[in-house]
Amino acid sequence: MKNKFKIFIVCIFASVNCSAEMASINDSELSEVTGQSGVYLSGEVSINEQGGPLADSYFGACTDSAKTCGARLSFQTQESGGWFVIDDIKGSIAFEGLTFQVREINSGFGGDGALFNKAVLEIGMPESIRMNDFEFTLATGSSSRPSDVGYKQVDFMTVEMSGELTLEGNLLVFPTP
Amino acid sequence: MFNIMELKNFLKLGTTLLTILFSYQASAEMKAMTDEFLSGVSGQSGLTIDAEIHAEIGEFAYFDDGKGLALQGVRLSSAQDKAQTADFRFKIDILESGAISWGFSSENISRFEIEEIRFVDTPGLTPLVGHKSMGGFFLDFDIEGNITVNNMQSPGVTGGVYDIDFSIRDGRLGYRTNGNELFLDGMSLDVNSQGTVLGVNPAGELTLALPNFLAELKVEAMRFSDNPNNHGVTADVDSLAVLPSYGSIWANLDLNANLTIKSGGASGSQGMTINADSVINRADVAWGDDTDWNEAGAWVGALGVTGSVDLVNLTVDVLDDPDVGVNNNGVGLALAFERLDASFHIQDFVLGETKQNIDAYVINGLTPVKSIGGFDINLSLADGIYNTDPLTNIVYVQAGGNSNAGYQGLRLDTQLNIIGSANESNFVYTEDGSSLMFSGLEAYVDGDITVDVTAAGNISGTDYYDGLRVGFEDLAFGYRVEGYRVAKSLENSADNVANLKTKDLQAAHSIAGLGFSPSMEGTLNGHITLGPGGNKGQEGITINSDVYITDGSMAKFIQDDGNGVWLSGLNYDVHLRDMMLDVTSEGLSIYEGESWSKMDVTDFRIGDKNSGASFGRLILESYTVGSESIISAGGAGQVCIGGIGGDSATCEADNGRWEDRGAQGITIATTKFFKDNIDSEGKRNRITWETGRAGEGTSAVSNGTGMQLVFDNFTTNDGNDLTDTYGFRSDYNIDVSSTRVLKKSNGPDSNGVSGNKGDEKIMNADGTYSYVAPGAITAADIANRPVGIAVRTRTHFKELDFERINLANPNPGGEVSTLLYGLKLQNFDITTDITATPLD
Repeated sequence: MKNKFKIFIVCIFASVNCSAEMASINDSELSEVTGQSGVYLSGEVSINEQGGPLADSYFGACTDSAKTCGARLSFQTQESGGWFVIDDIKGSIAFEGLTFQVREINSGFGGDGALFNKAVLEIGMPESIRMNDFEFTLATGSSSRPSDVGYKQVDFMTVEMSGELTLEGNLLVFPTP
Repeated sequence: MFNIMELKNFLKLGTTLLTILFSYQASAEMKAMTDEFLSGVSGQSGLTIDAEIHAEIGEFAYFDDGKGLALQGVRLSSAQDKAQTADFRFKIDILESGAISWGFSSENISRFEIEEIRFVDTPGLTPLVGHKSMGGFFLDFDIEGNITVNNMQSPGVTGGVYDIDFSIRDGRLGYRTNGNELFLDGMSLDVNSQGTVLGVNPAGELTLALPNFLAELKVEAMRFSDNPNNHGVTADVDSLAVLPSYGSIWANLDLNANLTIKSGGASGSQGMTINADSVINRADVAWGDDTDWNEAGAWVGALGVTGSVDLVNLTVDVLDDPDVGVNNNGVGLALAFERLDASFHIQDFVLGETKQNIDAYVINGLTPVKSIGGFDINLSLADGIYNTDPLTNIVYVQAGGNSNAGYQGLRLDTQLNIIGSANESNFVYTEDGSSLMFSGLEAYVDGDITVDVTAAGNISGTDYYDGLRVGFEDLAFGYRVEGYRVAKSLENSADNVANLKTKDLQAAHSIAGLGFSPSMEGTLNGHITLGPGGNKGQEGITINSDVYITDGSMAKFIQDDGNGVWLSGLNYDVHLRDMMLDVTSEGLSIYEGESWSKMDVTDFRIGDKNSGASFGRLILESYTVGSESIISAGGAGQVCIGGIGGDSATCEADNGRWEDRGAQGITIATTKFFKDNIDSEGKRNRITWETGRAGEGTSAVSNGTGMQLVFDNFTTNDGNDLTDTYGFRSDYNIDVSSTRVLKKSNGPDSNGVSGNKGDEKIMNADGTYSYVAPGAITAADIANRPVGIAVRTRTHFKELDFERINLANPNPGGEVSTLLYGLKLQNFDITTDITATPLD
């Protein structure tokens, strides 16, 4: 018998502009960059919108309220200990304008750019992101599988997100082994 | 000046043409003609000859500047019994036009055989047993046909004009090494070549013109035998079991060609130089699996092929191997050419189609077929420089294959170079009216390729498998494309290729599912052995392979400035056991009995492949058993992006974007079963990331000296840790399709085209583009949205377990600490649908 305490945090982003103000890269010090020659990506990622492939005492069709149809990730940080669980992951994220390119950084960043003087990955944030009923539950479990005999799970909270987001800016990934 | 006497000498194949007859028996019995035989000859004025021939020639050699290529054990006999005669009937008649009609037909199935092909210094010496040989060839045939020799003095024609028409039935064509055979069984060949011209031009060159060459080849089965007692038989002579088959082959050809041969090669005073050009008016090629040549069975085929091939100055010499030391494999036939330009257009590449439908399609061009789309392949081979290495095009055909496989086999000491700096070479994929060009293809190979027919077993420490073994020995290779170009396609293939060349170059990237990388280099060793029989039905191809790529690099993403995402310092080995290819009605099915691989990347770099900043070392190890893939025709079809809906209205009502990607495209469905490690055999599923190594950031970085993050021993199961029938499944739908692209900022873009943030990019008829405000978009604009590479991927599995995740210091005395004692992913079903277009 599951001991389930659900806390719903429903984030409805109805045309909310999530202006993650990552500083725009308009620094003239970045002027010596390679021209635009990357790719522009648009599309969507959906997780278990129609359910998943498992059907047992815990997982099942989304139309079955007694079953969980989302994906589940669990991990154990101590040998023979309990399990952290991200459960019932489902929903979709659609985006337009995610860009990807390689650019040289040889100036700026308070002088660190000149020292670095190599290429980085630039991931341009998509202008538009739309989340459709994206949700997951944070929990802990007594063993690795919810179908195990005697399994117990404590749900801490469920996060649900729907709506439009606008993200601006670029994410630069500096390789530093 | 090349005179007739020289030509005669040339036709004698150089300086010395020695025919040493060992146990020579040639009995061409001329028989009396009866009236019955003569009844079919016009006007009873011709001649009928019945010939029973049994000919054995010990050695037939071609010498070039003192080095010879010797055909040994040449025999013409009955196919059933090599002691019996090959029987023919010839009918010769003079037609009213003055032309001579020479009819011929077999009276039994004959065999022409060459037992050994060797290189010799001195003609006529008895060959030593075990002296390296290329192996033997044989041709069985039952021929019937006619050659009409027309007036030799035809105005404007250099040489005689011949109308050729013949058919071969019950044929076999085989290659035999060390007692093992690979042969085409049940072969039929129909050839019709009207107006063939053979002669010598005023420059003294031998010329051959085929203005109307038509041919059709049918092969019932391509068979393999590992029983030395078998020789050109359908069923094993000991067990009586039908020999295993790779499947059937069908080809249809309509071309016109011209060929000239002149004396003198690339080296010495002898040899020959060949120039040839041909235009393929139509060709169709297909491979069938378990087929009845009608409704049963399935075929893979390239249909509606057109194109051209132009060969410039192919020189033929017999030369020493220029390599020294252990790499010197003696004398070989050196084939070098100045340039080879080849262009092919494949109208439809079909997967899983019936022969009945293929035949109907070939006749009418309208019958629907399971097509993934069309291809254009343009290749230009010429001298050039790849990276800093000067390369040319030359192949030394040498005797002896893999050194442990036996004395017979074929070795190709190869250097080939494809140039593409001016986009001479490229590859175009077209589907549903959109085209993707892999632009500016450059590639080379330099090293040894061996070819043997081998039987399963271990010889002197080398494992062999049943089938045709293609070996690689220190074969340096590399290829790269400068980028992709995309556009709506044009009807005419030449126009389509020319149009694509004018389009903007965009970054090239790996395409999920296809396993394609925009660039790859390295040194290849190992083998791929193609055996008979598949996983489904009686026919198919079984592949066993061990390949090792060392000192290589691989790009996952390349921009037009050469910067990209690189796997540098690549050492990659892949091992396949009983990987079986079948064609079914679904498409091409690939079953992997067992496969394991290890990709060890010294530096995962961003930017330049040699000096770009590194994320560190990456090692990917994989071990799967019983995995399966199916490649089929058709892409994603109609999809709703960002919403849910089965049609345009419901999709858009859910704020989705409806896209119709057409009927063509490629679908790849894979199922992988990741298994527990077998450490003693080096089989494991593991991902390792290592940083902080000694010498990090230099070219002298030392692997194994840093800290390693290890995702160890990941496996699949059905969610119960007991069974694994579902595995890790990925379904890829790959299309070239239009999509919506929005401007991300106000003002001009990198090409100077202005627009406002949120405007949509629309392509103009001349290849330029403009930005249109959302409110002003018309139906015509929507039809002219930019073309991109659309990949829809569905990944689903019941359970994926990571045994543990460790932080390890591999140095002596270094510690291993466990970050996670288990990581489990369950019930995942993830769909991604991403379209990539150029960033402007």
